[in-house]
Amino acid sequence: MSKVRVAFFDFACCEGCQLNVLNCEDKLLDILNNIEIVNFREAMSEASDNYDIAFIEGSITRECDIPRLKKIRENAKILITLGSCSSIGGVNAIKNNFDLEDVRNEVYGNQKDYFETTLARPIDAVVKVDYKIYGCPIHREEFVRIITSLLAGQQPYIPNHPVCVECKLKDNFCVFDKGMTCLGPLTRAGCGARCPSEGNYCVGCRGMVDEPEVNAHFDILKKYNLSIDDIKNKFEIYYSYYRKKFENIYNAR
Amino acid sequence: MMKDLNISVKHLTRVEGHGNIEVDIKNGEILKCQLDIVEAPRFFEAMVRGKSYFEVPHITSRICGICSIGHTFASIQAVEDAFDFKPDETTMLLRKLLLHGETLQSHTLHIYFLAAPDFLKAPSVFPLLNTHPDVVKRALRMKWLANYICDKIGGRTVHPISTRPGGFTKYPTKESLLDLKEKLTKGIEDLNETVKLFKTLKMPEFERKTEFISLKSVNEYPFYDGDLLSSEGYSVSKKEYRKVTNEFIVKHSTAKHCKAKLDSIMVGALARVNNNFNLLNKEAKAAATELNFKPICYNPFMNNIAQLIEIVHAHYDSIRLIDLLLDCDLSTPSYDITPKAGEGVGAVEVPRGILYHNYIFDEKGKLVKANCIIPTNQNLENIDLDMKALVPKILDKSKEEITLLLEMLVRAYDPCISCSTHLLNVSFK
Amino acid sequence: MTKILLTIRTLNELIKNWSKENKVIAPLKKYETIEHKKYYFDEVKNPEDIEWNYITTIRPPKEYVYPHQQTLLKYKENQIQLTFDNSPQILIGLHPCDIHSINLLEVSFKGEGNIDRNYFEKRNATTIIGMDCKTKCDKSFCVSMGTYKISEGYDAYIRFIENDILLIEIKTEKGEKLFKNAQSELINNKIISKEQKVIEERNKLFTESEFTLTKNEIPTLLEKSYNSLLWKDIGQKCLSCGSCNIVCPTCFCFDVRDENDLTITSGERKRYWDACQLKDFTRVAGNEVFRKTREGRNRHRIFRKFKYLFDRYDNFYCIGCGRCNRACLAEINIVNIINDLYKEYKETKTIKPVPFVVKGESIYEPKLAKIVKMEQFTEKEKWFEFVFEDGSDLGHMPGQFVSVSVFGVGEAPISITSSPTKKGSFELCLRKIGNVTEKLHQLKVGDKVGIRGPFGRGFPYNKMYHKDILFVCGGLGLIPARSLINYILDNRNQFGKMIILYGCKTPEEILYRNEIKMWESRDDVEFHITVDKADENWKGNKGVITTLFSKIKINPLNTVAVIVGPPIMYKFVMMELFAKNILHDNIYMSLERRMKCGVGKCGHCQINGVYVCQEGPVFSYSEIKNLEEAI
Repeated sequence: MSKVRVAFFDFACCEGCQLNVLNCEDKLLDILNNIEIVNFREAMSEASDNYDIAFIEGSITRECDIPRLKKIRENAKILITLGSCSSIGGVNAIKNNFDLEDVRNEVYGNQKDYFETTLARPIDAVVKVDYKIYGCPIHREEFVRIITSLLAGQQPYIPNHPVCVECKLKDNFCVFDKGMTCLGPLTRAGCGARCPSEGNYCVGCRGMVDEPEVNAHFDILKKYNLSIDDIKNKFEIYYSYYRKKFENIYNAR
Repeated sequence: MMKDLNISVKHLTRVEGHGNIEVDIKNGEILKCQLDIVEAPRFFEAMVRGKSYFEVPHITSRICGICSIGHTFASIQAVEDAFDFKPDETTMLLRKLLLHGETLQSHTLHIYFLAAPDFLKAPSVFPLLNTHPDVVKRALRMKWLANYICDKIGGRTVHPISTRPGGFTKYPTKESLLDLKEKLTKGIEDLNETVKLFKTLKMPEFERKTEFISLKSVNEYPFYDGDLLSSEGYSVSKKEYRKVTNEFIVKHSTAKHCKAKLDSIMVGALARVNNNFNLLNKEAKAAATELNFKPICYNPFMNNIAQLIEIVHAHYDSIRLIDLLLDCDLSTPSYDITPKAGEGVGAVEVPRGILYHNYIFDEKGKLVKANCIIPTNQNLENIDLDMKALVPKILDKSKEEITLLLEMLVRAYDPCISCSTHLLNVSFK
Repeated sequence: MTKILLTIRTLNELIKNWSKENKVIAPLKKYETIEHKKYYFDEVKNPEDIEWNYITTIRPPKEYVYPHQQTLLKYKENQIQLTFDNSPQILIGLHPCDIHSINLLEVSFKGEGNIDRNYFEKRNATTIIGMDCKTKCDKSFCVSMGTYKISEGYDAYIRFIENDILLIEIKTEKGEKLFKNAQSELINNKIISKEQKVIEERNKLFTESEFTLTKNEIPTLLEKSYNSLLWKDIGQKCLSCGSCNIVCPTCFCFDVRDENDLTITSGERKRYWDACQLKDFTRVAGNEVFRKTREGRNRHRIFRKFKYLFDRYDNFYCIGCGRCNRACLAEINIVNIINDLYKEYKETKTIKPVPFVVKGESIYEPKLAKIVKMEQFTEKEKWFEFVFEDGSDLGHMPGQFVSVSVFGVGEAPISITSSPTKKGSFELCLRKIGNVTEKLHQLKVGDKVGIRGPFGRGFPYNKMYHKDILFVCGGLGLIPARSLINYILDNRNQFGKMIILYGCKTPEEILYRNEIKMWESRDDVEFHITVDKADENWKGNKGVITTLFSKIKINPLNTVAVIVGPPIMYKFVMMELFAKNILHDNIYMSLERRMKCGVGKCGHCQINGVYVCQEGPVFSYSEIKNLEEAI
């Protein structure tokens, strides 16, 4: 059996997800028994345009990135996004909440014209995406699980339920009961409720579930005395690209 | 010898982020010799405006995956500085230990995965699996251990979770610290083997005098905080960081360049080891001797060796920190911090040099203005000047050899281009 | 059953010994922050860490008999290896409720014959040592569920007699094995009475039922509450987060997935806890979801616990531990759900008939009345005025009816059409349609008939004061409605606006023509009439009665609707009223049924469980909306 050819690419991102792939140290050699990495700029000099699976990290933030992305789509049999930036726009999309001229001005001042930028978009806003691996950064175990599923010809299991399920499995105190507020009830599980388990709260890095109960969650945040502004600020960290899903609800309240 | 030469390396590999090397020589005259930064800009300073002090470190951590712990700490330090908050001793020990985890992880990745293939004549680490399996497996073990520290202390290897302004949301258990200590002790063998391997690798010979900038401390090798020290014999407080990072714009780069007293500055492992050699622990000093490293060293290729010396230092220092932590009360974390209006600066030695975060907050703890200066930016002018000095000396070599040497030079700096493209031009008044 | 007396120190020694060959699991404590300590079950490293005074954990000990992730089999290409976990373990310190829950899991994993070996191998390798809880948990309902005590399902049971002295009841062979080497202290009468006292003291914590009904009434209650509007309210609050399922000690639904290892050809088939509150719980490969709404999923959870599994296994699948209630951010609470449903049900049920006590020798004895006036309204309808021989008033409410006897022919129920404000006589209006009415139509002024009644519940005009009244009358429905219309006209300032909609088949069938002219001329009455069919002489509205709704404007919160007419009319009129958002409590209707006795005896008039003659004929819509036979 010839090995499956795998390539990694990145757009606007921190490259933390690719780093997390390299961080699968204990599994890396087993994975390499089944796949051949043919393109991974962060770690290797060789490069090839002949690959079966393309993993893409990062959001699209410049028009000039689009032809490169379309080329990757043409070459790849399966295209998979890696992490929040490519799957849901991630933190890059925070800037979508501001006037883009103002954003360029704030960072680059009178040099701003050198720097092209458009609204930050997830990959599936530009080309078809076959699977999404969520998380900021991706979860190593989940990456390994999904890649094994694909190699076995199985549809990878990607949860569509809130983080609360996994948080309860961890025997955690509810974050709300500790006087903080949490996006767990809206956010897609799969991380093993990592942040609440580490004593923090869920910031929503895996994006919302397909049909988030924003209305019911809003009632709860209000009960905990959060102002609309506070709520928006929380939501904007990772949910910015999907702001339509919550904005109407907030404006109506 | 009069020669024409045109080198253009697009999307330089085995570095973090996107950069191009451009060299253009006509009749032996250098028309162009530079590192272009082509990474997509991401605008973090603009995005964090209006966000709460609690969320800012979370967001700025996402500037860079490799130095996410460093960004988190620079950010937290700036927040705590702005609120006049002093973290307790347990917090400081844990932060230093976690920062060691990142330094070990990043340096190991760099010397083994990114730099070593050049010396072992391979295009990447993957072919080495067949030719040098022991080397690759050792590299993976060492990286795993470094990541294990980050996992246990920070809750995750990339983008830590349990770190927050004021302290930690969760403490590691004593059992996990003991387990960590045991693993680190076992890891010493791999450390020694690594020193032995790198001793055999021949670094290209090249020297150019420059100005090294690092943190300054009197009683320990500084990583987490301190004032700023120049190899030109002066120091400034961290609030005056602009004096050693005078930024200026060059046309070919989306990232800004920096200088201090001389034409350019260098930060990172080489700068730190040069400036603070006496503060290294004895094991690291011994490794330096074995690796034939003597301060002050002006060969940028030796940055790889300086990184290895720091690996030795951080490894042993982690064991020391764990011993101190085992005497602390680790039952429940506390993190009382009260926001107030003010400005703060965080300066942390991350793998590639000093990382500065500078924030202004309003009285509710909402961010008004942010400025971040990334080590790679500080090194960019130095890289350009090094290339310009190196090229004339190696013009007699083949184009391939020249290209490889230039690539190795840039890689020696371990540039983190994702970080550097946040660029800014903020004036604080 | 034997008992032994140990000090805590001896027990700890025993636990240390057990740990050599068993995994020992017990309640432990952890501080998440200075203020937030939690209790949880985990493997014990040092017996001194066990929290004997713990309060019920966030997640139940279910994990240790039915793990949230359990391998069913291993495969390598097509080769299958069944996998069971039967490594010995001891669960220490389970509270009675949690032991109940494990007993329930056994029932369902035994099922109706399909025995789940993966469960039982693990369960049989488990020894359970129970103990009393010392506090009643917040939001729990173990009193109503009767689960704060336990009599089976454990191998041994610990009861603290003093701080560090405990009496252990050894129940099974497994229990005996554990304690066979234990050296018991002397158990004297003092100890026995001490134990009795401890039990009695503890029982005092568990005296107040949380439910307002007994648990055995719940399945019937749920059966009647499937369509309750309460589910909608609950659904709107629900986050669909599945927390209630995950913390539930009796939830046992699972999903099955194959997990390949890195060789790709081999792996494990595992089951994972699933949760019925998650939308994907019922999603099939074609993406269809069969329980789409949060309302439906919440109802399913409650029905499963208190009805579906009860019907199947004769056990309630709830132990009243309150974990779901505590875990729910939206504060959805089983105790409130059950009590609210019961309250709603009682309100629907509570149709208290005003018992009419017939004066005289017998409830079947008619009282003689004389016809004093008659008028032929239409071809079939005739109007009568009666007075009792003794000159007394009938004493009725609008909407009530009487039984009229023509001796030798029979008795028939007839609505009263006069207002109670009219003293000295009463009026009936009746259609010639059967034996009795045929005969009545033939009577003359001065003839006598027998009258029993008034019977049943009339229109509650005392609940209509200061409200706007909308009458919707079809055909003969105007007859009982007129009683209330006249009452209101006689007390006009005590009511708001009055609108009367009246529909007939043809203009010839219109009743009370003179009074209608009077109503039409009044400023304080809005009157609309329509007929289904008419020739060109008819200048008014044509069409069924619902066409009149477009002509009126009402204030939905302050309007009472009174509907009387043929059965077919009700459904269509109700739709119009719902569209105008009139409150269900404010819709009154008079229902017609066959009646013989008028006093709740003969059984003819029954609608499901309700007697129309006694609890009706007037009902509010909220009283009959759950009666399938009503309209």
